[in-house]
Amino acid sequence: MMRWLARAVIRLAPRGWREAVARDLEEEATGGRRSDGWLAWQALCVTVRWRWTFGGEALVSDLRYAARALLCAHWFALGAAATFALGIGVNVAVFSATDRMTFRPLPYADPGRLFIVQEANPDTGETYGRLPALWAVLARGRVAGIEDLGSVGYFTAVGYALAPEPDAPVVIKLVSATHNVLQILGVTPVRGRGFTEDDARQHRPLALLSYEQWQQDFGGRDDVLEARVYRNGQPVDVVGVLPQGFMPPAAGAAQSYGLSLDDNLMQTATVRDGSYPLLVRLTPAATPQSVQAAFAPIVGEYERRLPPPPPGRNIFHPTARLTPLGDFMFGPFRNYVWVVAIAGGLVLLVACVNLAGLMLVRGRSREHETAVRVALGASTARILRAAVFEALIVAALGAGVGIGVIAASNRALRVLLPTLFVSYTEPLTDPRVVGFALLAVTASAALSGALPGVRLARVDVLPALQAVAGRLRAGRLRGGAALLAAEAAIGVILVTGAALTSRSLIGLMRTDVGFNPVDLQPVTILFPWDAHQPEATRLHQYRRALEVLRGLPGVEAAAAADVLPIEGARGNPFGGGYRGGYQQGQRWQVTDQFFRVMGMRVLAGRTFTTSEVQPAADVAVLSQRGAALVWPGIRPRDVVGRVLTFPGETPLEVIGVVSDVRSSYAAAPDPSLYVPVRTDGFKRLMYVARVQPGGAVPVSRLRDRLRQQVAEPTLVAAGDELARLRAGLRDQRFRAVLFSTFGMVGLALAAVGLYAVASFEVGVRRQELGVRLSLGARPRDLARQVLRESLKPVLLGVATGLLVSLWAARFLQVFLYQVDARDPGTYLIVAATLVATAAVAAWRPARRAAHTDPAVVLRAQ
Amino acid sequence: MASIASRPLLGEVEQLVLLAVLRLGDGAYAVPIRALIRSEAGVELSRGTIYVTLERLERKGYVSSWFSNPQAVRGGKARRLFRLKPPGIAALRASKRAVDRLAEGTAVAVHEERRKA
Repeated sequence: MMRWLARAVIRLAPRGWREAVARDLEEEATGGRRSDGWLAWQALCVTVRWRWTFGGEALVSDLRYAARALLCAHWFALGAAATFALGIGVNVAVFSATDRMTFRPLPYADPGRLFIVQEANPDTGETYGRLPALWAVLARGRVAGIEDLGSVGYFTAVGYALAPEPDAPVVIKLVSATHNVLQILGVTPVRGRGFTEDDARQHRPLALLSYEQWQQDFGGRDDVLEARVYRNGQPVDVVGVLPQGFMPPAAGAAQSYGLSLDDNLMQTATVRDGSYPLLVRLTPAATPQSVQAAFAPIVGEYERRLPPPPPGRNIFHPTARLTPLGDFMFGPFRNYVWVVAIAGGLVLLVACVNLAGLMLVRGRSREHETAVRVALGASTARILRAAVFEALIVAALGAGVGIGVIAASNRALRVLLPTLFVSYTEPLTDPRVVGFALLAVTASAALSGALPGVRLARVDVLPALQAVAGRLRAGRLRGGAALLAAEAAIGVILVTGAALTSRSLIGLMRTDVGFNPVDLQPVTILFPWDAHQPEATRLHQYRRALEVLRGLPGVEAAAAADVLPIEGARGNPFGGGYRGGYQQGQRWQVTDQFFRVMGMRVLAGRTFTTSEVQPAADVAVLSQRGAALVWPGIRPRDVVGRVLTFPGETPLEVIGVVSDVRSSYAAAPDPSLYVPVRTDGFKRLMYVARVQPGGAVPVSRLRDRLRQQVAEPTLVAAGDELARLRAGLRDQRFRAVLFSTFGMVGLALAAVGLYAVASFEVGVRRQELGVRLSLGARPRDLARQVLRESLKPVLLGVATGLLVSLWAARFLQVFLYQVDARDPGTYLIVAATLVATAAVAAWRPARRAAHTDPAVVLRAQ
Repeated sequence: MASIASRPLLGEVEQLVLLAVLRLGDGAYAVPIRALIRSEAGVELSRGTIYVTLERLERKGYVSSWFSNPQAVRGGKARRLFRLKPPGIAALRASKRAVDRLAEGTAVAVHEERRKA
C-alpha cells in the first residue's frame, strides 16, 4: 500500500514515530481514498515539522559532543587549527584583494557594452599601447555600432597638488581623459559636475578627484571644488568628485586615481600623432566582431595617408581589435590573481587533507567509544555529523585566528602586497568577504570531516566492543595511504612553486640594470607653467636650475634629461615618429655629463662634450640594443662614425655606444637613442644627482637657492633610485615569500601527517612485530620495512605532484624571470626534499618498531 | 489569591490535545485526536502539529504512550496510543482554573458592550 517514496520519506522521521506515523497515514489514505502522492507529501510535511521542532536539540548536543572530544585532545585541535588559520586566512586575504578585479562586474552602467579599441598586428597577434590618433578622429560618428567613443590616457599623467596647504605639496595622481568618458561609462560625480564639451572646446584645465583623494588628501572638505591642483606646473581647477569605488578605466590604474580633462587625445590628427586606446560603448545590437569589421575602411584611409616606408623596412598592415574593458584593465593581473588564488587554495586543501588524516588516526583509537554510541542507537548521520562538527570547530577556530591576524597586521600586509592589489582590497567586513570566509570554513569542514566520519560510522560494532577500551585493534588504516599521497602531491606542487619563484627573485636581484643606482637621486624641479613663454627662455631657466643643483653641498655631479629612462616612463619615438618606430625604440634628450652621473658604461666611442650639448649638435649616442636595432649584426665599435637618417630630420652622427638601461630589474631595456637637449618643443627637464655616499640632496636648501637665483619653483622633490628599484621587486618578492611560506607549510603538514599515520601503523602492529622479533627477525630489517611501507604512498604522491607541476609550469612561467619553469634540476631537488622530509618523519616510528621488546608485547596479551 | 504555578501553563494546542486524549480514553492516537479537535472545537490542526505536541506532552510527563498490537498482516505496523497521566490532569485543571478566574466578570461586560454597539 505505502509506496516507496512515502516509505523513504518516513525513514527520515525519528525511530519512535516511524511506524506509528506510517500506520496513521495509511489508515487515513484508505479511508479517504487518497493517492500515493498525497501519502508521500503528508509524510514529508510531518517529518519536516518534526525535524524543525526537535532537530535543533540533536544538533546542539552533537556540537557539544564534538567540542568535548576536541577539548580532550586540545593539542591535536590547536595544531589543526593553526594550519587552518593559515589556509583560510590566506584565502580570505586573497579573495578580499582580488574580488573587485576578478569576480565583480565593473562599476559602470551596462559594462558588457564597453570595449577598448587597440591597434593590432595581425601577423604576430600583438596589440600596442598606443593607436594612431587619426583612427579616433576618423571613427567619430562613422563606425556603425558605436554609440560613443572617448579615450583615457595612462596613469603616468601625474598631478601635483598644492592643496590643502600651499607649503605641503601632496602628490595626487590623475589619469587624463576626454570630456565624454563619464557619459560613456554612465557614471555621475557625487560632488560638482563632470567635464563638458564646452570645457574641452575652450581647453579648460580641469580635474575630477577620486573619492579617496577627496577624503584622504583633502580631508573630505566641502570646499574641495574651490581647491586647485597643479599638473606639470599648470594650475588645474577641481570641478567634481567621482563616486566611491569608481575605477579609472585605464590598464593598471589604481582606484585612487582621479581624472584630468585632456581632449587632445582625440583632436590631434596628423598621421604621426599617437593616441591612447579608444574607449567605446557599443550600441545594444552591435557585436565586437561587427565593429571590428566596420573599422576596416578607416584603417585603410589611414594607411593611404602614410608616407612611404623607408626602403628595406618591413611594415605591417594593422587592424583594429576590440577588447572587453574589464580584460583591458585587469587582464594582465588576472593570471597573477589565479596563480595566487590556486596556491592559496592548495594550502587550504593540504590543511583539509592533513586534518582528515589526523582524524582518521584518532577515529581508530576511538573505535570503542563510537561502537558504544552506535550500540545505544546513534544513527550513521549523527556519527558523521559529529565528525564534521569536529572539523567545523577546528576550521572556525583557525579562521578566527587567521582573519584576526590579517586584521591586526593589515599595514604589514599592505607593504607586502603588490601595489595594484592594495588599491582594490576590500575591508574584511565586506559582506562578500565575510560570506567567502563562511563558505571556506564550511567547505573545508565538510571536506576534512567526511572521510573520517564515514569510516567511523562503518565501525564493526561487535569486535570493537569486545576489544579492551583504549587499545588499538589490529587492521590497517583504510584511506590513510591515499591521504598521505595527496598531501605529498600538493606538497610537491607548493615546494616547486617556492623553489622556482625564489630562484627567479635571486636572479633578478643580480640583474645588471646598466647604471649605478647606489647614491643616485632623481630630482624633480618644476617651475610655474606659462604657455606663452618662449621655449628658449624655458630651457634657459631649467638649465640654470641644473647649475644650482650642481653647486649644492653633498651633490657630486648632476645631469638632466627630458624624460629619465630609469623611471619607467617613455620618451619620444626612436625614429622621429615614422610608422612603427615608436613601438621599437625610445629617444631621450640629455644634458652633458648625463652618462657619467648615471654610471652608464661606454662600450665604444665617446659621449657628448659640453660644447656639443649647448647648443645641440647633430650627434647621437646609441645604446647597445639601439645599435642592434638600426644596424643588426654590427659590432658597437663599427657603429661609431656612422650616420643616422630619419625622414624630415637633419642626419645625426653616431659618436658612441653605451650600456642598455633597465627601468626596473625585471623590465627589458628599451633600444635607445640619446641626443643633446633641443630647444624645439622643449617642455621641462628631469634631473638626476650623484650624491656623496649615504648622503642626500638637501631639498629645502635647493628650494631656497632656486628661489634666490632662478625663480620660485612649484615643486622640488628628490627620490632614492636604489629604493625605487628595490620597490620594483615588490611583486617578485611577494610571490617568492608567498610560495616559500606555502611550500614550508605543505612540507610541514606532509611530515606531520606521515608521522601520525606511521606511528599508528607501528602501534597497531606491535604484537606482530614482537612475534617476528622473538622468531629471530633483525631489528634493523623491521625498521627498514616500516620505513619502506610508510614511504610508498609518499613516493606515489611525489610522482603525481611532479607530473602536475610540470603541467602547471606553463602558467607559472609568465611570472618567472630567466628561470625555466620546467628546469629538471629544480624538480629533482624538490622531490629529494620531499622524500627526505618524509623519511625523517617516519624515522621515529620505524625506530620504535625496531626497539619493540618481544617479552613486554607478548606478556601484555 | 491563587498560588503561583511553578510550571508555565499549557498552551492552547496542548490543552486541546490533552482534552482530546482525555475524552478518547484507551483509543487515543493521532488520527482520532485530530478528528475530534476538528469536530468538537472547530479547529483544524495539521498532522505534524499533533505529533509534535504529543511528543512534547510526553517529554513533559503529562501523557504516556504505548504501542498497540501490529496489524495481522506481513509487515503489519503498530499504532502509538496515548493516555493521560496524573500530572497531565493537574496541568489541565490549573490551566482551566486560571482562564476561568481571569475571565470572571468580563463575560457580562463583553455582553453589555455588544448590546450597546
